[in-house]
Parts: sequence; structure tokens; C-alpha cells
Amino acid sequence: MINVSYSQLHCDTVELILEEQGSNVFTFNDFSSYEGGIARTTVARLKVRVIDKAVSDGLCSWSLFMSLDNNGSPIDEWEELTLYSNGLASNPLTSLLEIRITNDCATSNLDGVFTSFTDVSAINIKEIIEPIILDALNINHPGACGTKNVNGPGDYINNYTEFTFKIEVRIKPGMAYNPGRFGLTLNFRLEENI
Amino acid sequence: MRKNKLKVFIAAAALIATTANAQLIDEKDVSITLDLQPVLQLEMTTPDQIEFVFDEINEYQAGITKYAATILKVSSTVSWDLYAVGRSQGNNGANFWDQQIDYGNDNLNAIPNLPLSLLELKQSHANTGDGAALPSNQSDYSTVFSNAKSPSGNNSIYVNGGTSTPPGNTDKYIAGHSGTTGVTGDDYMVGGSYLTQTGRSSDYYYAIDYRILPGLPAIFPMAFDKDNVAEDLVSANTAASYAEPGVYTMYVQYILLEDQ
Repeated sequence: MINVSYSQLHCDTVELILEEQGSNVFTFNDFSSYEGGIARTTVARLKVRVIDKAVSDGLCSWSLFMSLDNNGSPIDEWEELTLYSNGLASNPLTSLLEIRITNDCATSNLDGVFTSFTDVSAINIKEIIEPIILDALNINHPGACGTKNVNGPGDYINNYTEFTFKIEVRIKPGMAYNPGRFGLTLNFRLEENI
Repeated sequence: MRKNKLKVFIAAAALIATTANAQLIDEKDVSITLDLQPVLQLEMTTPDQIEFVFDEINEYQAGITKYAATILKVSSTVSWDLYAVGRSQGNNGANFWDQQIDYGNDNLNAIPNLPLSLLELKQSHANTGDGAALPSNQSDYSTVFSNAKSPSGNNSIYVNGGTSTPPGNTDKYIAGHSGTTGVTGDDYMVGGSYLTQTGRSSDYYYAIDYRILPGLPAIFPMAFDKDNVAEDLVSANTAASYAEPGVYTMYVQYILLEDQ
């Protein structure tokens, strides 16, 4: 019998809480919506909670990533759930989905900018809060609203404006794609920096 | 033997004492669903009824033309085709105008069966999606109306005997054509709308002229079927045939459909 025990590296807890806001179904059924697109100012809120160890080594920090999953479909296309037509055109591309991540203190380098994925490959993973070369000097502690890449321990209760991220989505399909129902999954990953 | 036991014990103790540091990670997902519902919109501006009243000799000889009597405007989110088909209620047969009332004395040579194909259409600009068509005459209705002395089926409306069969690759479409090659310009029009694709020659906007030319005698020399076979009353009946005077009606159906 072999028992291996795990212990934390630098942090005691990292927790990501997702609160979805309303429907994530984008329905395009008239010319205006096809041409003008549909924007949802908030589809979800991400709340971050990172707790330092009781005996801190001063290196507890975190990073937050965003990636896209299409369930094994061609890497630059949405997953086809059903087609409404003869399917002679192409399925919508992942780049149609534009995502904007913001928080009140604009801590992300992506803050306020609509970003999209040309495909779902790992190379396109977006860094909302960038990973760092672990050094106490590279850790940005919360509290001074306006600092970029805040990645020190803290939580959305005490530092709401730096640890809560709003996810906005915009889709403007145009008229070049197959009608049908398609799906994509946004994946958010909170990691302790090591 | 004791040495071996000792080695095993030390190795096991070393394993039990091993601890691994784990990176803390948490993940969450948001699923987005995209529901692209197909939209095919054909807007038509036209009088409820377009009347052609022939009561002058020169109208019989030169015909009557109604310019831009119908305006067609297309919005589509899918590749599309647009065609016109001549229809009637079938009182005189599926390929003929409905005779509502007849004038005159029912002479045996007075023919009440006027072919639907006698109606000529002219679209304001050429079809840009008919590259792969193999027309028996024309692949669209963009040719100018023929001189009264030169009968042709260039502009005769497509008729399908009251069925739902769309025109084939030898027939006329207003936009797009039969086939699904997917080759741009060959047999379909790209999704779009007249709202954004503006201009006189927009592929999403057509003005349709109508002409009826009875001729003298009234045999309708411009009537040709979809295979470009003459359907004038003499060709279809006897040399002495002419149109029975009366009131006739038919209708034109404009069909916008996904590329097929």
C-alpha cells in the first residue's frame, strides 16, 4: 500500500465561482439581427477567491485563462447541433463569437476589448490574468484599483472590483453560413502560479 | 534473507513518506448556443391586378407593355434562387389562361385556350448566378422584348403545368439557377439583402416589365414553351386559328427558395 499525500504549493485555496445571467442562446431570426448582430452585455460573472496559506511563503498568486471548446468539431467551426437547411454553405466559424472580459478596476490586459478565437487550438488560449515568473516582486496585490494583472491573494468579497469579472458576448453572423443550431463552450481556468 | 527484508522495508517507508505538491486549479464553463434561423424574404410592390385591354388595332399589332409594374426585393440569409412561374386556376387547363367570359359567336376557329407562355417578362438587369445554365433559349428574362415581326421565346414566362417543379437547367430564372455546385456565379445567389446591397443593378432588387403581344390575327406569336417550342395559336391548333375575344385571367407566382 502506497499513500501519497498532497499539499498546497503556495496558496491554501483557489476557487472560481460562475454566475450565469439569463439565457446564453443567441437566436437570429430576422435580417436586422443577422446583419446587426446581437450583443449580451453580461452573460455571466466570474468571481475569484484565492486564499493564502496560514503560514504564507509570500508567493501565493494566480492566473486566469479562457479557452474555447467545440466538442471535437473542425477546429475553426462551431459544433453543429442541427441544421435547418440543405447545408450547402459552411458552418459558422469560431471567430464569430466575440468576448469581452471586464472588471471595474480593469485589471486584465484584455479588459474592454472584444476578443475572438480563430480556432479552438491551445495556442489560442487567452490570458485574462497573465501567469508570471514566480517571484514576490511580480505579484500585484489587490487594493490599489488601477493596477494591471492583480494576482495576489484576495477574494470577491473584500476586493469585488478586482476579483469579479463580467463576461460580455457579441455575435454578428452575417449571411454566409448554414442556418442551424450550433454550440460552443467557453472554459475559464483559475490556476495557482507555480 | 534479513538483508532483503530490510531493503524492502526501507523502500516502502520511503514511498509512504513521499508527498507531492499539487497546483490548485478551478474551472468553470459557459455554453453558448447559436440559433441561426433561415430567413427568406421576398418583398413585392405591384398593383393588385395588371390589366391589358386590347381595343385598338395598334395594341394588337405592337402589344402593350407595362414597365416596372412589379418590383421585387430580396433579403435572404441563405444562398437562394428566384424564379417566376405562370399559373391559372386551370379552368381551361393548367397551361392556359382562365377564360372568364367570351365575346363573339363561338366560331370554331376562335380558340379559348390561350397559353400562359404568351405573357412576356423582362427583368431590369441580368441574372449573375446562371453561369452553369444550359438554356434552350435564355437563362433569364433580361433580353429586350423582341420586335413584333421577329417572334421569339426570349421572354416567355416559365410554365410548369401547375406543378411545383422548379425550372431546370435549361429554363429561365430571375436570379440563381438550377443546381447546387456551390461555385460562385454558377447556380446561386449569395445571401444578402437589398437593404445593404443597393444600387441600380443590385442582385437583390429587380423591376419586372410585362408585355402581351396578340398580333394580327391574334395568335400570340411570342408564346413559346420552356423548351422553346412555339405555342402560338396557329402552331398549337390550325392555320385558321385566332384567340376568342373575351376576358382572361392568369397570375404570376414569384418563388424565392434556398439554392436547389
